Formats: sequence, C-alpha cells, structure tokens
Amino acid sequence: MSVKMAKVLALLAMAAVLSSIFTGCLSDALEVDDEAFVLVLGIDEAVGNAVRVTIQYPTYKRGGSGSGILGGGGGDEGGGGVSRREFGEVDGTIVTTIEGPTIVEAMDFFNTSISRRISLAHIKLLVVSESVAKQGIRDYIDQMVRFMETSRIVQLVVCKGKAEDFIRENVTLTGESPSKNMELMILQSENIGLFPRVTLPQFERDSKSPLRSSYTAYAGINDFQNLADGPAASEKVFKWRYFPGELPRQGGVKREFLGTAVFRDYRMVGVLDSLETTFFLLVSRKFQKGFLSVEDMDAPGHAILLRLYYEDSPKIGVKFQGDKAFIDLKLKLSADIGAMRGESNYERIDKLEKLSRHIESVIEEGMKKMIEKVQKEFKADIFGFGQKAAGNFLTIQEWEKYDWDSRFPEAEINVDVTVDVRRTGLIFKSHPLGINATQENR
Amino acid sequence: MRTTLKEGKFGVNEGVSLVITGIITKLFYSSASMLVNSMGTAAWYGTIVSCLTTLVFFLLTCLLLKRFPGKDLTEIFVETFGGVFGRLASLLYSAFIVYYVAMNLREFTDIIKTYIFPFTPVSVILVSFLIVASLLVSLGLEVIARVSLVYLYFILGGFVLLLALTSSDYNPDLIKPYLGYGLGNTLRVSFFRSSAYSEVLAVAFFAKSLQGYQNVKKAGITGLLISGGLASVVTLLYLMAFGYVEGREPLSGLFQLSRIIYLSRFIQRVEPVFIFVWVVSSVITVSIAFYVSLSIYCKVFNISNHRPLIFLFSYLMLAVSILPKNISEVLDIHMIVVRQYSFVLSYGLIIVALIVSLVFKRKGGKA
Repeated sequence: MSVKMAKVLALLAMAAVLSSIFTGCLSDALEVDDEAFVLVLGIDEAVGNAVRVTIQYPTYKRGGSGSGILGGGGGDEGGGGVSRREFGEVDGTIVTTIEGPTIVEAMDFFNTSISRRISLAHIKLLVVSESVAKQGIRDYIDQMVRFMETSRIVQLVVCKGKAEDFIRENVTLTGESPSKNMELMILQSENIGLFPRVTLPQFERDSKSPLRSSYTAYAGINDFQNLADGPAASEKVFKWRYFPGELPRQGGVKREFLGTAVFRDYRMVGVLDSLETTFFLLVSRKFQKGFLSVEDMDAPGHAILLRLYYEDSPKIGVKFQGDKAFIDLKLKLSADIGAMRGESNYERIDKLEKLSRHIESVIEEGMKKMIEKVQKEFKADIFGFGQKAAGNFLTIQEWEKYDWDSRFPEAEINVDVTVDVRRTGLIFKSHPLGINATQENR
Repeated sequence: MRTTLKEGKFGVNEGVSLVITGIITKLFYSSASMLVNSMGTAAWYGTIVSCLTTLVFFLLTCLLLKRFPGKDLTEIFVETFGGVFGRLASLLYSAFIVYYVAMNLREFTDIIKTYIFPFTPVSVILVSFLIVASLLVSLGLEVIARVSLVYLYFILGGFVLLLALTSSDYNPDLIKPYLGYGLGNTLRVSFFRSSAYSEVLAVAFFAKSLQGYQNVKKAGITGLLISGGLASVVTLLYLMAFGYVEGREPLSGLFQLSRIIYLSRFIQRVEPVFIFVWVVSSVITVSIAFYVSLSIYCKVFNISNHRPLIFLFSYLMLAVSILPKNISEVLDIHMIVVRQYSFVLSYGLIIVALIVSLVFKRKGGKA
C-alpha cells in the first residue's frame, strides 16, 4: 500500500469515526422518539403561581385519533376503568394543565409526570386567554421568543374565556394528524378572510414598533346554543357580524376562529367582529381570498354574493398640517358575482355599473366605521398608517418625539374605495321568470 | 529582510474571495444588529460609507505597496521603520489578529451555544472549530485561498437563498425615517465601522502570493465593493424584515430570519441548511486570519515552516477567546474594539509608513 493510499484511508477512517461520535454528541443529543412535541400551548391566569399553562401534544399511538372522545381504537376507557377524558386525552392528543413560575419551568413541571421530554420546537399555536391578554402579555411573549427551543412560526391567538377550555375543544375530527389539522386551521385565514394569521415574531415586531400597533386572531368556543328553534322569520334577516362562539351552528369542532384582537403596548384593547375583520384585512393588504355579500338594492331580502380581489395594492398617503396628520386611504378592488337573484339581471352593463357603486358604498361605509372604531375607541394603529407617516420625518429622534401613538387618534382619515365588478360568474345573461321576459331582456 | 516562508501563488479571483469571505461572514453574527443599533434605519447605506472609507485607506495602502514593488507589508515595514521597529509593527498586527480570531471564535461559539448546542461545553465547540481551522492553515495559504473561492459560491448562494425565502416578510416602510439617527451620527459611526472591512488588508500581507501590486489592488477593490454592496443589501432587507427597533435585538439577525421561513406546510423550519453555510464561512474566515497572523510572525522571525507553530497559535487563540466572562462583554467591548476602533491600528501604521517613506524618500524592491 502506497503512502498516499494509506493517508487517504486514514482520513476516511477518521471521518467515519468523527462523524459517528460527533453527531449529537454530549448533552445536546436528542432522540426524536424521546420527545413529546407540543402542538398548542395555552396561557391562563394562575391561582397559586405566576402562570397557568395548558399544553396539547399527540399521544403517539397508532390510530391515536380514533381512540379519544369519539371512541374506536382503544375505546373510551383507560386502565382501571377510568375515562380517557379524565387523563386529558382529546382525540389523539393529551391536554394537560399546570401552574408554574414561568412558561419554560412549567414545561419541566410537566416533565415530572410525562415520560417523554416536552419540547416546544414544533409548536403550532399559542393561545392566550382574553383576561390575560387584557392585562398585557409582554412577559409571556418575551419568554417564548427568548427561549431558543420555541418555533418562530407559532401562531398567536386570543381566546374568549379560558385557554384551557379552548384547547380541550381543539379536537381533530377530519383526518388523522392533529398537527396537520392545526396548521390547516390556521391557514383558513387565507381562504375566508374572517380572522388574521399572525405569527409570534410578527406580533412581537409590531408590538415593539413605534410605527404601528399589533393585532392577532380572536377565537372562542361555540357551545352550539345559537341555532334557535322555532318558527322561521317572516322576513329574511342578513347578519354578517359575529364574534367567536356566536355563529349559529351545530355539530363539528366547538372551537372557532373569528375576528381580530387589537393590542396596544402588548395589552388587548378591543376586538373586531367578522365583518370588521374582513374590512381590516382588506385595508392591511392581508386579504387573500373570501366572499362578501351585499343586500340587493333592487330587491331587498335578497343577497348578491361577491368574491373580492385587489385591483391594486391599497395606497396610503399621509400628510401633515402642523401637528395633525391627514391620511388618505385609496382602495381599488374588483369583484366577481358569485350568486344573485336572476330577476335582478345585473349582467347588463348599465346595471353592472350601478351594482359596482352600490358595493363601493357598502364597503366604504363599513370600512370607515371600522377604522373610526379602531382609531377613536382602541387608539391603536393596527393598519400601519404610522409606517407611511414616518416618511415625513427625517430622523428617528424627530419621529419618536412626535409620538405617533398619542397623535394617531386625532388624525383625519379619508377613505376612498373603488370597486369594479369584472365577472358575473358562470352566467352572463340571467333569464327572468315570465312569458315575455326573454324578449324584454334581449 | 528576506523571507523564507513559501506561501505559493494564487490569482485575483482567489484574492477577491478571501476578501469577500472575510468581510461578509460577520453578517451571520451580531453585525447586522449592531449596525441597526448604532445607525437605525440608516444602517443599510451607512455600511456603504464604511466600505468607501476603507476603500480610501486601502488605496493609501496600495500607494505604499507601489513604492515597494514585489514586497509585502511585513517587508515594507522593515524597509520604512527599520529592522527593530518594522518587526515590532508587524508583530503588533500579528498580535491584534490573534485577538481578532479569538473574539470571532468566541462570538461564533456563544451564538452556536445559544441557538443550537445549549448544553455542549464551550471548550468542545472552540476546540473542534480550531482543529478544522488549524488543518486548513497547515495546508497553507494557497489551499485556503482556493478553498475560499470554491466555497464563495456556496456562501453567496446561501445568502441569496435566505433572503429570497424570507421575502414575504419584507416591508419597505420599515426603513423610515430614512436618515436614521441623523446624518452626522451615520457619518461618524460609518467612519469608525470601516474597521469591519479591514479584512481587505489580508491581500496586502500576501502581495507576493498575489504576484504584484496591480493584482493586490484589483483583488482588494473588487472584494471591497462586492462585500460593501452585499452587506448593504443584506442590512436593507434585514431592516425591512425587523424594523429599527426589533432589528437591534437579535444575537444573530440572519439566523433569526432563517427561523421564520414558512413557504408552505412542507417547506418550513429550514434553518439547519443555513447553519451549514454559516459554519463553513466562519471556518474559512478564521483560517484566513489565523494564517495571516502566523505568516506575519514567521516572516518577522524568518521562520521557514509555519506548521510547528500552529498548535501554539491555536492554544494562544483558545486562551484569549475564553477571557471574556460573558456574551455581553464579547459584544459590547471586544466586538466594538474589533469592528469599530481597530482601524486606528490597521490603517494607522500603514499611513505612518507611507508618510515616512514619502518624507525620507524610501522606496525599493523589484517590480
């Protein structure tokens, strides 16, 4: 064997040895199978310690999703005839609550009874109860973002009532993976535009920023008591505004995401309902997909369903006269008709124009009211108008001296919405009922 | 002064890659946060001012090299300051570079420990890192230069990929107000921050390997301009992702950025990919500086083989790197010295040498 060959072999042997002993050597070695990855973490007010923490993690059992509250799999009984529900088993996951001095120490407290090490590396959702959110969540957010193990793409949600109760209702009814279920639930924001999707880093950035205020999704539990029985109303009632827990529905998962929680300086100062949230997302350039219906102006009691799109990005201009800010918001939308009453015949060019103006006025009116509520009542710039206003100042010192947070409520905001109905769905000529209708409508 | 150390030869491309790798690696560390902390929203163009300031200093260095064709800085110091003072000046550089390597090593170790290996002893990370760097140094300058050129594409690709994958988090409004903490502050801080580009001097110490003054000038200027442009773009996008308040907080801004990548349910949590780029780039940077320090020492004492000294220098660097008590001391004192005030030494001696050579009309060497 030549010297060169011996050297090569020695190097290969060294690489083989080093790669085997240096992979996850020492105390940082982690076996994935030794960990229990938290999917949802909830924060509630504590009674006997600083913070009450609820976590939800998978059972890691084959067919685990079928062995929970819905039965199947191992049935509803645990060892010794104890209900699995008592163990905290919720549909393929375990929900357990503890109180501790800090969130991270609470994880160690959990580890006193859980054989696998609790890890926050793949956490999907951070749920904060409304009462905690109103007191301020800076300490909790700081604990989460400073802790190296926490996933940075965790979504933040404020829930009505207790976070613990909310998480116990977080069941997986569709599919088998609780993790996938959680992620898809969060992504629904992009499909419906009825709640925002906000990650922890985004919330933290906005909360610290002197350019804007923060917001996040609002959620709650629906106890299925809102679907009223009794005789039907004589006239149709259109209702678009709901808060979590108020939707008239029965069956399915009880927890629901609906609306926006508004924050100022890490404290929750108010909430936006479902419709206001759609308007808010439209202003913030966060609206991706979603429907909105307006009442038919020619036929009250009938709705026209629209799919909204951005024609152009929202344009925000901020000017100052003295110390007062004047904000111009221009929103250009286009809409496709999704459904309408055939007789209204809005496909006609003249009527289409009329419909566009009608939608425009409905959206503009709703948007103005929503902005006024956030500006005057909550005094929080969740729209990011301050980011545009800062362009009028040369230096950070000048900007911070102006103190946007305190001046924003006094700003004058002009909203200008333009809507153009572009398409009429799969039908381009409605056929009204009646013997002569076809001829009249040609 | 005759040097017997054989360092091999390499071209302008390798020289450029040495400069770029040496300068931009710090962006993976606390550099971006420190820039935002000191200049606010002006950090992205402030770093260009720093780059241009360094360019002026580097052109002065080239002027000095031009007066002594075929000689590197170590030899020029002996020619201008005389045997004793010239050697002392070179030794001062060597000692500073030991300190530079040690502090970079410590910063890297602390960040690795914070983000990835919280329970692994510092000594294990430091020693493993130094073993790899020592191996590269033992193979010599030519190998380091060629390795740095090969990996430069990989490192630049890593930067581009990282910045592209986080593009959905950019908000151009976050760079307002445009003047940061004021023009005066930006100019003052940028002038001092020119130290962060002083890695360009490596090519002046390797003037012989670069085969002439023209190549040194070309490699230095090209490397500086590319590094400055890249640093500016990275800082701009970093500001657009974090803003000037949150942007000054992260220990490693770019690594923090990599942790928020979410393209879809299937492409997320991809930060380990970037750790690879980060580590490779850090190893090359430390190796370059390690070799410069060792090379100067060998030239000063006319040592023809640098290998026996590698262990001693490694030990010295290890000892210095564990001197700071905590991460705050590393970042608030030592990194400020290295990246903000070291230009006084880096360029001070060169300017003095240039003045001496002009006043006493000292010049020499072969073209």
